[in-house]
Amino acid sequence: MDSRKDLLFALAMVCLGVAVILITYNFREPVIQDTIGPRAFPYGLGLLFAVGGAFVAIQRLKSMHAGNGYIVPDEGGEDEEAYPASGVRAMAMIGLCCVYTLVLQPIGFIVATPFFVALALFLMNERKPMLLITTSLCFTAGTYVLIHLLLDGRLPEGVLKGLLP
Amino acid sequence: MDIMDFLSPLIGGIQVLDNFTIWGFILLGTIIGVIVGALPGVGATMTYGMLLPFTFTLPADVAIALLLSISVGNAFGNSIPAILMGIPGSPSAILTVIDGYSLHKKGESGLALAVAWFAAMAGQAISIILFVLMVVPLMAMAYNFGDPEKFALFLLGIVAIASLTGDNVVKGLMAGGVGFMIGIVGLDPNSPLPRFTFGFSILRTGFDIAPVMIGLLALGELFRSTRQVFKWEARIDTKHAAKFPPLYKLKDTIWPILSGTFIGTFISAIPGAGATPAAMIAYQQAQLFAKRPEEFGKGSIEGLAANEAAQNASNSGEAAPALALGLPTSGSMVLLLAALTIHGFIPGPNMIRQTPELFYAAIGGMLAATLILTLTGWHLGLAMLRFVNINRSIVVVLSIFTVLVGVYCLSYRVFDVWVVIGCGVIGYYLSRYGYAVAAAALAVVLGRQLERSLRLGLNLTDGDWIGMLSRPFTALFVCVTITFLSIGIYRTMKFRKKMRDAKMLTEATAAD
Repeated sequence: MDSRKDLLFALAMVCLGVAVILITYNFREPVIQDTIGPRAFPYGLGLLFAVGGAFVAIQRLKSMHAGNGYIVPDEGGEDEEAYPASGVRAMAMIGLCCVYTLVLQPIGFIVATPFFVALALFLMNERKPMLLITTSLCFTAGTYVLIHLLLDGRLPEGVLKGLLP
Repeated sequence: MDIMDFLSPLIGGIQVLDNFTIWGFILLGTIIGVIVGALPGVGATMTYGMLLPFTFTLPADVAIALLLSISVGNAFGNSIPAILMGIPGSPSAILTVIDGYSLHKKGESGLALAVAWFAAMAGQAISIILFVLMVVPLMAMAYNFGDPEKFALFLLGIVAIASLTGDNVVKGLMAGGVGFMIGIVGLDPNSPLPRFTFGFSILRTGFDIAPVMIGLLALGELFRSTRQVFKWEARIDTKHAAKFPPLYKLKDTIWPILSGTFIGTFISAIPGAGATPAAMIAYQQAQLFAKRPEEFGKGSIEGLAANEAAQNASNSGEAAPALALGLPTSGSMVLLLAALTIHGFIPGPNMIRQTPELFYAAIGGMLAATLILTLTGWHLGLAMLRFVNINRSIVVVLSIFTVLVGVYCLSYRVFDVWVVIGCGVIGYYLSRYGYAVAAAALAVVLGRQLERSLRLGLNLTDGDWIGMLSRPFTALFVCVTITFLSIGIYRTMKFRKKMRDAKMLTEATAAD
C-alpha cells in the first residue's frame, strides 16, 4: 500500500467530516423534538470522520519515509503477490461501467452490452478477436433471453424500440 | 423451555421441504455454491451480491433457503482449489492449503478431498442441531428487548465488526461511520425532516438497501479484482489422480471433526469473528489433542478435518445471531438480511419470533443442501476441476455485468445502477486502504434502526442516559461492546508495534 495515498484518503475523511458538520448545522429545526434530536447523529459522524481521519493522517505522517518508495504493509485487501497490479485498470473499469450506465437507456441493452463486455474483456488484457466477439454476443443474448423472455423483465430497448420480440 | 421448543424448529425445517420447487432452488444454490467456491476469489458474499436481485421474485422462505444453500456449497467448494492448486477459494480455506495441498503433493489428493468432503458434511449436519440449540434461547431472550436493548445490540454488532476486521480499529470505526452516513440519507426517523437529500426528491426515502449492499460488498471487491490479470490454470497441478480412499483412513478424523464443528459454530456466531478465525482456532485446538501433532502443516488429515468442519459449521453459526437477533456477523449475512428487508421484514430481535417460517426455511435449506452434497459432493468436487480452468477475466467481467444488470432489474431504475457503482467505488477504496467494508455494510442495514432505538429509548427514560444504559441487557451489551473495542485497540497497537519492529530491522540491515 502506498502510504501517500493512504494519507490522502485520511485527509479526504477529515474533509468529509467537516462537510458533514457544516451541512448538519444548517438543518431546519424539527417540529417534533426529542432528547437528542436529528442533528446529534450526523454531528457525531462528522466528528468521527474529522478526528479519526486526522488521527490516521498523523499516524501515517509519523511513519512515512521515502525508503521502499513509500510502500507500507497493506492494512486492507492485499493483491496477489506474484502478479503486477494496476489501479489505472480498476479506474478504467469503473469509468466503463459509468459509460455503460449512461448509454443503457438511450441506445438500449442489446446495442450497449456487447460493446461493454468486449471493452471490459479488452481492459482485462483479452486480445483474441473471436473470444471478444463470441463472449460479448453470448452474454448479451443469454441475458436478454433469461431476463426479457423467460423472467418477463424489462430491459431498455433504446434505438431498437418496437423491433424486438 | 422444553424439548419441543428445540424439536419443533427441526420438524418445521423438514416440513418446509415438502415441495419440489424449494428442492429445485436448493439444488441450484448448492451447485452454484460449489462452483463459485471452487473459483479462487469468488466467495459467498460476492455470489450473494450477484444473485440477490434475482431472489426478490421468490417467496422469502425460498430465497433464504437458496442463499443458505449457496453458503453450504461454497464452504465445501472453496477447499477444492486449496487442495489441488494451493490457492484458497476464500480466506477461511487458507489452512486447507497447508495440509490439503501438502497431501496433494504427496500424491494423496483423493484422501485430502475425501477428508474435506466428509468433514464438511459432518460439520454442517451437526452444526444445524447446534444452530437450533443457539437460536431458541436467543429468541426467548430477545422477547424482552425494548428500544434501549436494541440500540445496545446494534451498537455491539457494528463496533465488533469494526474492531475485529482489519488491522486498524480507527479505520474500522470510520468505515462504520461511512455506512451510517449512507443509511442516514433521507427523512429523519422521528420527524419529517430531510437530511442530506440536497433537494433531490429521489433521496427523500433514502437509498434502497440492496444496491448499496451489493455495491459495497460485491462490486467493490470485483473492481479490486480488475487490478490484476492472471490465469488460474497456470498454477494447477493435476498430475495426481483423485480416488476415494478406503473408509478406515477417515477414522482419525472423527474427533477433530466434532471439535471443529463446536468451535466453528460458536466462534463464528460472535459478531466480527466469522469463518476464518473459527477455522484457525479449530485447527490449533485439533493440534493440541491430535494423535500425530507433528504432521500438522505437513499434510495432517486431522488438521484438515478440523478446519473443514469448522468452515462449514460457521454457516450455521453465522446464521444464528443474524436470524435470532437481526445481528449479522459476516458480509454474506448482511446481504441475507438485506434480502429479507426487501421482502418486507425488519431485521431485529423479533424478526423470526414473529415469522418463524424464516427460521424453518433456514434449517430446511441447510439440511437439504447438506443432503445433496452428501449424495453428490464427491462427484461434484471432481467435476469442479474443470471449472477452475475457466478464464478468470471472463468470470470477473461476467460478474460485474451480472451485478449491473441485476441491480437494474430490481426496480428498472438507472438510478439504482448509479448507486451500485458509487457504492462499489466506496467499497473499493475502503477495502484498498484497510477500512472494514463489512462494518460499513452492517451500519447501512442497522444504522437507522440504531438511531431510532436510541432516540426512542431515551424518550422512554425521559432523557436519562444512565437509566437507559443501566437496564440489565443494555448494560451487558454495552460492556461487551467496550470489550470488543478494547480488543480492537489492542490489536491495532500490536500491529503497529510489529510494523515498527519490522521497519527498525530493515533500517538496521540497511545500515550494516
